[in-house]
Order: sequence, then structure tokens, then C-alpha cells
Amino acid sequence: MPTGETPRSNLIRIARILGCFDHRNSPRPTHEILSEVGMGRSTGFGLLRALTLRGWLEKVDHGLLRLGPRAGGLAFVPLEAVDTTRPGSTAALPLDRSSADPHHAITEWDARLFETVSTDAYKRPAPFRIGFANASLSNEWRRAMFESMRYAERLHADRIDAFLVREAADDAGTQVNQIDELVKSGIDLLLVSTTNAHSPHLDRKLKEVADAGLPVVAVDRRPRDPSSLVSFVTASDRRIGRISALWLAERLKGVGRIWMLSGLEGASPAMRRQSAAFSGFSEFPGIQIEAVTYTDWTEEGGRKAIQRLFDQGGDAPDGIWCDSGLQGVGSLKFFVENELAVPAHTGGDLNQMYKLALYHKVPFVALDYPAAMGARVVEVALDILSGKSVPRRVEVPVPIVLPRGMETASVRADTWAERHVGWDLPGSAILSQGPSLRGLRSDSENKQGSRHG
Amino acid sequence: MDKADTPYDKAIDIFEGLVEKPLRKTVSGPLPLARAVGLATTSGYRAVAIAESEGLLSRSTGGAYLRGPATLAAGLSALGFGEFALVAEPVLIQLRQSTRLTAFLGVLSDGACIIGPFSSGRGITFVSPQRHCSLLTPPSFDPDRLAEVSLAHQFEAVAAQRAVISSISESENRLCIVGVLLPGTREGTGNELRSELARAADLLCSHAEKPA
Repeated sequence: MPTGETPRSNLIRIARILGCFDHRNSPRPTHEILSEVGMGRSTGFGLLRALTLRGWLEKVDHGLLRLGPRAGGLAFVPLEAVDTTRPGSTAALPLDRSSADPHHAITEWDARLFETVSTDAYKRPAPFRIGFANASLSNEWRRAMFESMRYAERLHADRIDAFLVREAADDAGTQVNQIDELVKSGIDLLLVSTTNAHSPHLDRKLKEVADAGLPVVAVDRRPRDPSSLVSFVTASDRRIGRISALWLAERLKGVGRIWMLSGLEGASPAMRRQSAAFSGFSEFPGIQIEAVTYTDWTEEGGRKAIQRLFDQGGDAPDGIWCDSGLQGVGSLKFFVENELAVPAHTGGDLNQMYKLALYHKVPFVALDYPAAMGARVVEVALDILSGKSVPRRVEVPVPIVLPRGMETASVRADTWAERHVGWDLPGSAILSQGPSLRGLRSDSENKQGSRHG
Repeated sequence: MDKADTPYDKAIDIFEGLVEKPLRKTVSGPLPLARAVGLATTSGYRAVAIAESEGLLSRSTGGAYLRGPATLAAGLSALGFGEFALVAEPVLIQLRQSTRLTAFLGVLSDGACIIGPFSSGRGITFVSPQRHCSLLTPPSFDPDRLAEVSLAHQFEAVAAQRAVISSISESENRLCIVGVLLPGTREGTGNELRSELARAADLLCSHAEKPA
């Protein structure tokens, strides 16, 4: 059977029976199915018979079964949850539009997303030992991603024997030592979110681990040399950088002065977002980039960057491009606290960013870098250790979030900021955290309950 | 959950409830889903967790339940095109993003179109496709492997939706297609749309999983 363990419930058995047929639905002998799924004959035949009677399986010949007519209906799968409350009047224009439409391409096909990797060589019986070499827990987003991982770990507890974590405080040397520790502790797979994309030492270490036969999967931040990775779970930083820049330029009608506040210098997402934003701004000759600075993806970093730029004698810009709300909050607060008119901003992620921008009616676009990639990377790790093919690169979708009335010719909302914001959640909440956000919501409700009680 | 005669039937009822309910209703959180399926709290919570863990369900970043990757893989395998299960999601999402239209994978067989995975357009181009449609006329593919077709609701002979499709694979008198649903019933498609669809078809063909 795929994972080595004996399924404990009929629901698990059903899932595994339906998953044991090949791409062409070739018929299989019943004894082979029972053996692969790890079922005894008595239970197994009973369940196969019931599934056949209900049309999920069908008999092809004596003792041969394949997926039945009802199973074809399982292919009907919506790939994304869609906010259907958007009014049609301001909705996205289809591509088939008139040539007079002043539209800029917001999507570039990325061929890297379609490559798949066979993982037969890494297949082993569950439960697994997984190690995670984490760059740091230095900001809310990183803590949210880690919570998302923990959620997946709990969900798959019966297949995970140990989930060992080391946190390197953004120091590449520390991370190299921690990877050694994790490998020595006998892990089956290494997850890594690298401290710095420019560390050749880290590149060499990961290559050494991969060459020794241990699968390595990166999440969020990858090493400069990706050859050591089986897979990389991320989101499109280029999409975040490009769309936020296009929106800001179009919002300013193609003319204005911009300050750019990037995240952590040397971190791969910050570099890719900044590069994509430069490319977006370059399509507008009237846009002038006056300053580019780094903020370490912190509120304090954002605030200090704006203070410094004012201290250097600059007038308030027309727009502030932030690659995340983590520093965007610091920038917004600076303007609000100094009673200055707040220029248009970009940057999502942090609930506080949405609360502040909506409350002060600041024009802004947000593309949340999904912290839910933490759960996704655990699923990819389990697939690899179960011998299932996985994509070489997994991109968790990044929806465009805009306040009502803030759409531009090219940039249309996937969801409205007014619906996306969590008014009942703390400002530090990361809204793209996925199901693990539920815990925060419960905590928040409990606090309110005890306050009222 | 009252038609179960045996433990097997009961388990199949739960399975059917869990994979069907998210198609009909937006549900966030295991308990609301368990309740929507008619399960008791404790056993329901456990069943939802198992379904998510086995890939029958997944969750959007907003927390809403969707059918999961194992459901998609089994469904496409049942239709004879399981090789597209892994690559369907990134291709269809990019096709939707680049065309801003609902992008889908489907299987044509005997004048019917079974809709597979899809990524819905936004705003005025939002369409929630019908699971089973019929083709009003057989598709006539041009040299670029593209065809414009009219889809009708199953058992109806009135065009409900126009689509432009491209064939990507054939197996046992079935044709696997990738397509986009056009807004309204207007005929004709622009070159840009055709080229995006052709690109998606090429990517699906070249990156489909090879047999083991």
C-alpha cells in the first residue's frame, strides 16, 4: 500500500481504493487492490462490493475491478474558492477586448510550474521523521507560516512520527549547523526555508544532503542553487511585484514619484518582487522612483525608512510601494501619526494593514503572500515520502485584494478588502494563513466573550 | 445519514457527503462541514480531518473547503486521463489569469461533455460550469486544434454557454479537452485568446505525467 500503514477507518480505505488505479483506469484484480490498500479479505470484499453497488467501482471481468461511472464525476473540482459577491459593473474585463483598452498584461506564463518529479526513490513506510530548518520566526508572517505547518502536522499526525524544527535567526552559518543536527537525528526528509539566497556555504550543505539521498524541499525562500531541491513551495513573487507596481502606476495615471520599501535584503522573495516591480514601473515613463530601501519586513523598519527619507529632505511621494504590509504598516502609521496626507500604498499580509488602510480610506492594493504554504509544503513532503509524483515548483495562488472603487484598467480585484479584512482578529493576524487562522479567531472570540462575561 | 445498512454503506454515505457538500455550499471549519453533511460532532470532526488528510478535501487560504487533489486524481483516472491530474491546477489557474475567463478541463464522449477541474473567471466572467453538459454540434477542430462549441445543459437542446476548446488527448472514444467559457453567447474569439488556449494545451500535453 502507498504509505505502509494499515488504514484504521473505512473512509481511509475508500480514499485509498479510489486512488489505486492508474491514469487509464486499467482493471485490477481484487486481491491486488486489497493487498495494496492493506485490507483483510473479509472487510475488503465487503467494502469493494458496496462501492461497486453504488457505482464507484465496476466489475470488468471475473475478479477484475476498475473505477466506476460515478467516479468520473469526482473530476469536477473547483480549483479556487471564488468571491461571488463582486458586482458585475466593476468586474474584470475578458481578454477578448478592444485594442483601445489601455491594458497591461498582469500574467506571464511560468513554464517552471508544469514540471513534475518522480519520487519513487524516496518512498518509504510511514510514519516519517521530518526536519525543518527554518530561517527565522522574526515577523508575523513567518510565525503564521509556521502555524500553518503545525496545522498540517496535526492533521497528518498518524503519518508523522516526528517533526523536528530548528530556527536560525536569519543566520546562514547557524542554519548550516542546524541542518547537520537534523540530518544526524535520522530524518527522512529535510524542509528548508533558507536564511539567505547568497550563501554558497548553504548551497554546498544542501547539495551534500541531497547527494546523500535525503530529499530536500524548500518553502518560501530557496537557496541560490536549486539543484539540491526535489520541490520548492512558494507563491509568485513576480506576480506580487508586478501587479502591485502596475496598480500603483495606473492609480497615479502614469505620473508620479514613488518610494520603494522592500523587505529583507538578500532574501529571495524580496529580490524577485523588487525586480518585477521595477519591470512594471518601467512601462510608465512618467513614474519616477526616488528611493529604494530595505525594512527587514518589520513595522519598525517601515517607519524608520520613511522617517529617514523625510530626513534626507524629500517631499512626501505620490505613492509608496511596499512588497508586504509587514513594513507597510510602519509607513502608514508614520503618515497617520504625523497627520500627513497618506499617499497610495501597496502591501498586504498583515491584518493591521487592511484595518488601517480601510479606516483611513487610503488607496491601496494588497497581494497576500500566502502563509498557508506552510501546510502545503508538509503535504508535498508526505507525497514525496509516499512515492507520489510532485510538481518541481508549487505556487500557492495569490489573490488580488482591493477596496471597492480602487480597481484600475489592468488590475481587478479577486476579492474586496472590505470582505477580506478580519475586524474581529488582532492586527498581527496574517489573513493568508489558511485554516490555522481559526485558532486565532477562536482566541479572539474567547477574549471578547470573557470581556463581556 | 439514514440510509446506511452496513458499516460500509455508512462510510460511503459519509464519503459522498463530504465530497459533494463543498460543491453546493461554502463551508469553512470542520464542524460546520460535519453538520452540513449530517454527522455528529465527534465522529464528524474526525471524518472531516481524515478526508482532508487523505486529500479528498482541501482548504482555500480563506479556509473554505474544496474538493481535494485525491478526488481530482481519482476522477480524471476514472475518465481515462489521470495523467493530467498534477498539471491541471497550475495550467488552468494561469489560463484563467491570462484570459480572465473560466478555464476548464473536460472530457467529450458521445455528444456529452463531462466537466473536470476548473478555475472560475471573476466578476462578469464568473461562471460556475455545469458538471454534465451536452454539445449541440460535434466540435470541428481547425488546424490549430481549436474549436468553438455550444454547450447546453444536460437533457436540454438550448445553448447555455459558448466555449472555445482545444483537444489534448484521446482514449477509447473519449477526447480530453481544455477550454474557456465565453461570456454571453457571442460568437468569435480574438487571436490573443486563441493563442493563450493553444499555449495551455501545449503545456498540458508536454507536462502530463508519463506512465510509470
